[in-house]
Parts: sequence; structure tokens; C-alpha cells
Amino acid sequence: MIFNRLDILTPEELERIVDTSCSMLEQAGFRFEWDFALNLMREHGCKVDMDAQMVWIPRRLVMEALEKMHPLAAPQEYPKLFWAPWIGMKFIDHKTQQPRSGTLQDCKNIINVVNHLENVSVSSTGVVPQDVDNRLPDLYMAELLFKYSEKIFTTWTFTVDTCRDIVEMALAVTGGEKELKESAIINYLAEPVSPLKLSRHSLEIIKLYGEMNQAINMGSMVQVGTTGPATLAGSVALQLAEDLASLAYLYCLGSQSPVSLGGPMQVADLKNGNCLYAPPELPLIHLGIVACAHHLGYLSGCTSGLTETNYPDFQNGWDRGMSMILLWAAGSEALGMRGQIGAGQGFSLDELALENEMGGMMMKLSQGISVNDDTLALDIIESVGIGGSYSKLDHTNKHFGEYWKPELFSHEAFEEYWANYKHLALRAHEKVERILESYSLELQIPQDVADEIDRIRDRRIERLKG
Amino acid sequence: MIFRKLKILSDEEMMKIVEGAFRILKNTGCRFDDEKCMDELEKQGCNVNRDLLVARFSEEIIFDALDNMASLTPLDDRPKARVASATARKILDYKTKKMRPGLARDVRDVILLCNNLKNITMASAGVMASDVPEGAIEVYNTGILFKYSEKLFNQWITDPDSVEAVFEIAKIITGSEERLSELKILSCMLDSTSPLTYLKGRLKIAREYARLNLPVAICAAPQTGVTAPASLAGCLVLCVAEMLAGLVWLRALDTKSPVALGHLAARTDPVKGRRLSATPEHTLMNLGAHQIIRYLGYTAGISGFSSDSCDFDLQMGWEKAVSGVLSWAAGCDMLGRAGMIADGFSIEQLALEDEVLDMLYRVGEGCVVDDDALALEVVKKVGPGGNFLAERHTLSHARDFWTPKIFSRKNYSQWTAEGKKTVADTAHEKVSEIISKKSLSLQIPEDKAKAIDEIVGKRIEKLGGSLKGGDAL
Repeated sequence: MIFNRLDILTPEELERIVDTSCSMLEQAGFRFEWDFALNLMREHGCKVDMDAQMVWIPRRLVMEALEKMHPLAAPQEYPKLFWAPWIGMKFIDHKTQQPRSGTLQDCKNIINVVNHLENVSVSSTGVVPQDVDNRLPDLYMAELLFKYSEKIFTTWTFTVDTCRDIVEMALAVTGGEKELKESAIINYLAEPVSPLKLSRHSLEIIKLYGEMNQAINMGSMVQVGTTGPATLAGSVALQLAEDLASLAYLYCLGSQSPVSLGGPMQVADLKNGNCLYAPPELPLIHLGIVACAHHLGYLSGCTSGLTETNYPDFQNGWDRGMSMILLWAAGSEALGMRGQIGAGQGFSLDELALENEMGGMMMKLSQGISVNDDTLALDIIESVGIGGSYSKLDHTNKHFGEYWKPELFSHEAFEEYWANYKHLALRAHEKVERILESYSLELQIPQDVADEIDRIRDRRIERLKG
Repeated sequence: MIFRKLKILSDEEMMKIVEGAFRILKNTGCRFDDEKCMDELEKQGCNVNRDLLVARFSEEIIFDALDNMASLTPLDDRPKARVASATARKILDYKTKKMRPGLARDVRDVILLCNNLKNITMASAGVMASDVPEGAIEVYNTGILFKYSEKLFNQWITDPDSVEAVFEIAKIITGSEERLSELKILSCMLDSTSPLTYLKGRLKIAREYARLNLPVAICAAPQTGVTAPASLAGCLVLCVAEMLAGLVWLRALDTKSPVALGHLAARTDPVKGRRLSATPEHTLMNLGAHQIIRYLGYTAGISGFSSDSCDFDLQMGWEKAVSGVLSWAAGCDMLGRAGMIADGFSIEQLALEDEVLDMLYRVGEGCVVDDDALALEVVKKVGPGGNFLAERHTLSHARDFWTPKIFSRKNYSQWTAEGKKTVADTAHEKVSEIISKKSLSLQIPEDKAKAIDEIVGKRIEKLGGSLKGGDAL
């Protein structure tokens, strides 16, 4: 297999973008909204204006950070990418199909379903629960994932206090600091505020995760036309500049955290200011940032594979397919925001089930064409000869067994399909129903560790009450 | 832009498949169901068995054909591919969601649509009109396409008895046989019957086209596990062997026909035995075949934008994206089957494919990387925490962005308030509007159109039908 070959930028163009990103950090500067970070950057040779909270990062420091930091390891299993669910505020109600606020029970259902979708490789709670203390949803989300997820997971960390609690939960799960540092079971999306700014809470969280060597995904959210230039190359350069500023900060902290570059870049509809989820410009900027990350020796992830539609129709499949396939063919190691539907309308379990089906197809594509004596089948072609049939051969039966088999997609003939008509949306819905009816969440950690996680959560609740 | 780099076979793997095809042609050979071919191929140096009508090929003969047969010139405006509208027996009635036999009026509608859909680069008649006598359909379609199509078109001829009339029509357009030969406005498909057979009728048609040096697309369409090995590499070996056998035969005709090689293989549904055209295995074979064809030095045609879905649902969009985007990204020159849904034609599907091609071509334009696009000065001016919305630079690029014509960007509330219209509903409205508001106009002089009608009319009359003036049935 020779994938990772879809390049949209020449080496010279990539160099120009990297050069521009470095110039942005040297000339435009970067705002670090925390005195600790400002002092740290000054100690490492940056020009700093404490009053304005501005840092001008020299190219030398960026290059040093790129050389010394460790890239996150690429997934080894087909389709060789992290396939991670979205986390939104709204949930598409499984019964009514109407968007509503997410609940703790939705989070549990989503974890349960993700546990049983073989192609969704990373878990999340899918939604931010709105039926808990609004200062603590991120803590409840982490608690559920630590206890019930069978897979590695990603979650939001809204506050520094929650970050401390999550690290403590991770320590309880792994058994101690040494074990946690070696296991890297939690991760953080370091999200600068575009353009060119890191808030204090992000800087503190990066420090806390960085000290424990947990994975940090450098991913700002430049929006083409509003928080970034309206030109694609300019926004890619800005995004990369923000990723590199975060990387330089992590390097100055002396962290051993594995790192990836990339992020959920966006495109604004300049007619009305709406955020667009599936314009053709989006995979282009994502392809650009992935190419830059690879050029610099780092893994990359993005949020392509989204749709503007509210229903699993042709556009939904095309929107997702075009961008996802392009990014995958270009070698992006992570595709986030799975389960999202309708211009950020909400998280839908039915959509996630459909994307799991797509993932199965991509996995088969990733395996490519096997070329060996058995698959070339020269002896068989010669023995069947001219005008013969391959239907009843052992070779045929064996290879038929290797073909991809859809669970939700239809391979029926036209008349048969319409005679037994059941829309794909309903087929996906029924699959989710089957999972929820057949499986219940089970603790994935020993009871005493789960008790410790509960204790950390309850302690925080008590503190807030106090 | 550096597209055309998507490869799924290593050079070594590709060579194994090509060498496998050479071995099959040397040891097993290929059947040409026409004694005349035996003379032609023997003269070319093949070892022929006249009783079995089988020719076997040495490496030298194959290399000679590869060295001397010209390739059809690919498009130069990369990364665009030549996208051809399909032709089927049936057409989808959008309102009833039922297939019905195609009619002559559908042919006119499809040509009208092709004229108005800018990304469908090759027109077709869309359907085989069932209200035209069977043996005259291909002649009728060719006549109508020459009269009304504003674009190059595809109308494969499968009935050898139609060739003479089709050439007569083309000669009316070009003025003479010599000019037809020069202008090459007709082409034919020489498709094998797997495994390893070329049927007499197809050979007869291709011989006529080759005589006038018209382009020939040599296509292999085996079905895994039925007429080809179930393993993908084995199926590709068989495809390549069949294409090369066809190429050597054309070489034996001493023609100057430019050649394209086409891969139309399908994966089988192991349970029902049906041909499937949008499985991951099918896409992999398409990509592998395309890579090999390019390696052999020829323009490649494959059935991109395929789907096995019978509905305008997510499966269809996803499958069309997987097969079409990968084929396009790999640099495929020709993508066929536009407008197909299941085994029928759909005008709504054709409009949707025009829309997605528009989107894909925007991706193909890539990112401009120059001082203005990198926008360093603008970033410095805006600075940390600023906003680009009010910048002149933003205004000057505000029109650079792609705008959908059919796809929706409505949020949930708007979509619900407007009746939850699907994208296929919007496509249906768009094609209905084109058909109701626009009309076909003659693309050739009146006298030539009249002469074409006479040829078509004669063919129809010969088979028991009649034209009621002009091209009306």
C-alpha cells in the first residue's frame, strides 16, 4: 500500500508557509495571557512585553522545539487513523430525532454505543451534559469515560480545577505518577484563541498535562475570513503559527508530552457570518495543515468529514465522503467530530452508526490490493481458461470471504430495494437501538479505582458547595 | 497542485500483475470469435489455433503493440477529468420512484440537461428509447446527439448493423470520410467477454472504426469470482490480459486509431451473485487498473462515481465520493456512468453529479501560495486578538469561495420550516426548471439536420417504424 501520497502543496510552497508562520511569530508576536508563561518565554530568549502580554518568538526557538519535541505515534491498525466522536452541546434525541440539550444519560448511551462500534477508535461523551452543575460538566464527562469507556478517549477540559481532578483520576487509574507518565491515557486539545493568543486557562492546562507527559494536540480554530485571513494559504500559515507557538511553550516547559499538529480550522460564510461545515475550501485548508505537519515531522489531525445537512441524504454522504477520503488519502492520522450532523446542529447516534459503516469501508480500502502468488491466481486463470467459470472454485469461496460486507448499506437490486423499502436512516436507528437494548455499561476499572474517581468528583462538588 | 500521485500498487506489485497478464496471453491466449482475426493475428506473429479461434501472444508482439499504438490524448486542463453521461435502458421517474423504459422524449431532455450542466463534459442520450425500433435506437440517438448536443458525446454502438448509418450521419457533419477520419468525432468501445474472449459483433464494429482511424476504447469488464478470479490482483491480471490482446489485434489491423484502455470490472455479491459497482474492492481495482494503464502509457477510463444504492441517500453520496474522489485524485482521465442510479438513468442524479464535480474542481484548484495569499502583512496589522472581517484583504477575496447551487446550507430550523426538503428534491426542481424553461436548438445547419433525419428515418422504416417529420416519432 502506498497511500499518504496525495500532496496539494509543493515542497517549496510548504517551506513558504512554514517561513510565513515563523515570520508571524517573530514580527506580529503572540499573546500569552499568563505572567508565568511570559517569564518562561523570556527565559528562553523571546522578546517579551509584560504589560501587553506579548511575546515575539524567535525562529531559532521554534526550530529547536520542532527538533526536540516528540511526535505522537501514528495509529498502527487499519484504517490507520484516529476516528473520534464530536462533543457538542446539543443531542439529536434518539426517539424524536429533534435537537435538544444533552444529558448525563445521553453521555452514557454514547459511550455504550461507541464501545460497540468497531470502527470508531476513540471514545467521547458526544455531548456536554446540561443536567448537571454547569460548573462541572467536564468533570462528569471525564468520570464516565474513565469508568466505562473500552477505548482511548478524548474530552473537553473547561477549567484548570477540572484539569487537576482529571489528572488525579488518571493517577488513580494508572496507579501512580510514573505509570501515568508512561501510559499517556489522557490528552488535551491546546486551543489558542485566534488570532495569535493563548488564554491563561489553556496555558495552565498545557502545563499540568505537560508535566505528566500526556499527549497535547496543538489545534487552534482559525476561521477563514474572520479570525484568519480570507485566503486559504494565509489561514493555514496562521494556524501553523499558533500551533508552533503552543509547541514552543510546551518545549520551554521541558515537557516530554507527545505532540500532534493540526486542528479544527473553519471557513466562514462571508455572506452571513455563519460557520460552514462542508465547503470545498475546508478539506483544502485541512490538507494544507496536514501537509505542513508531515513536512515538519509531526502527526496531524483535523475535523474534516462533516456535513451541512440535517438528514442522511445524498449531500450528507458526499460532504462527508469527499473531505474524509481526501484527508485519509493524504495521510491525516486523525479525523474528529464524528457523529456531528447539520451544520453543528447536534450529535446523532444514528449518524455515528452510519459513519462506523463508512469506517468499515475505509478499513477495507486501507488494506489495498494484496499481490502474491495466491491472489495473482495465474494457475487458476490458466486452468479455467477461455470462456470458463470461476464460480465454484475453492479459490473463489476463500476470497469471497474476504470481501467487505455492509451491515447498513444496501446491495439489493432496485425492485427488491423498493419492495422492502426501509430508509438508511431507519436502518441506522435500529442498529443503535439494538446496541442500547443488548448492552449495558460495565465498569472497565476495578471497583476501588471507580470509588476513588467518585471520591475525587464528590470532593469537588463539596468544595463548590462550600 | 500535485495531484495524480495517489498510488495503491508499488512498482514491483504492478510489474507482477503485468507479467502475469503476459504469461496468460502466452500460455492460454485469447479467443477472437472471427476467423478473419486469425489471419490478422497470425500475420502479426501470434500463434493461432483456427479450430478454437484462439491466439497466443509472445512478449515481443505485445511490446510491439504497446510501442506503436497511439494513446488517446488526455485532457490538458488537469485536474479535470472527462466526465461522461451514461446511457441505460430505463429511467427513474422521480415522483413515483419507479423505473420505466426510456423514451425518445427522455433523450431530448437528457441532451438538454447535458448542454446546461457545465461539469458534464461528455453528453449522452441517457436512455435507449423504447419507442424507437430496437435495431434503430443507436442510430436514432446518434442523430439526435449530433443535431442538438453542444458537447462531445458518447453513444456506443453495439449493433454492427448500425455502423454504416452512424458513419453516414457523421460524414454529413464532416463532409467526407477523410475528414471524419481526421476529426475523429466518433469513437467505439471494443469490450471483451470475460474470460479472454472477443465476440464477433464487437470485433466487426471495431474493425470498421479502426479502418477510419477513429478512437477505440478497449474495455475489460469481468466479474470477480464468476468470469474472473475472486482475488483482486487475479482479476486485474485477467483485465490487463484482455486489454493487451485487444491492443495487439488493433495493431494487426495497421490502424492509426488512438486507443484508451478501460476497466469496467465489478465485484460480485457472494450471496446473490449480483455485479456490485461501488464496493471498496471495486474502487481498489479501479485505482490499480488506472495505475497500470498509465504505466503502459495509455489514457485510462474507469467507471468512477459509482454507487450500489437505489436511493438518493447517504450511501449513494458516500459511495460516489469514495469512488469518484479517489479516481479523480489518482488522475483518471475519463470517468463514466454519470447519471446512473442502480441500473437506470436519473436526470436528478446527473444534476447532483454536476454539483459535486463543481465542488471537486474547486478542490482541484488548490491553495494559491503567494505573498498576497500568505497575508503576512494583514496578520501583522490585525495582530493578536484582532478580526479580519473588516479588512480590505478579506473583501477582495470574499468572492473566491465556492457557492452551492443545489446543496443546502440551511440550519435545522430553516430546513424544518421549509418542509425538510432533501437535496434530491432540490435537484428535481432544478432539472424540471431547465427542461421547462430551455429548449434544444440545432447545433448544425438545417440542411444537414434534414439529411440526418432521412438516414435515421430510413433505418427506423426498415425496422417497421416511422418518423413523423423531422426527428419526431
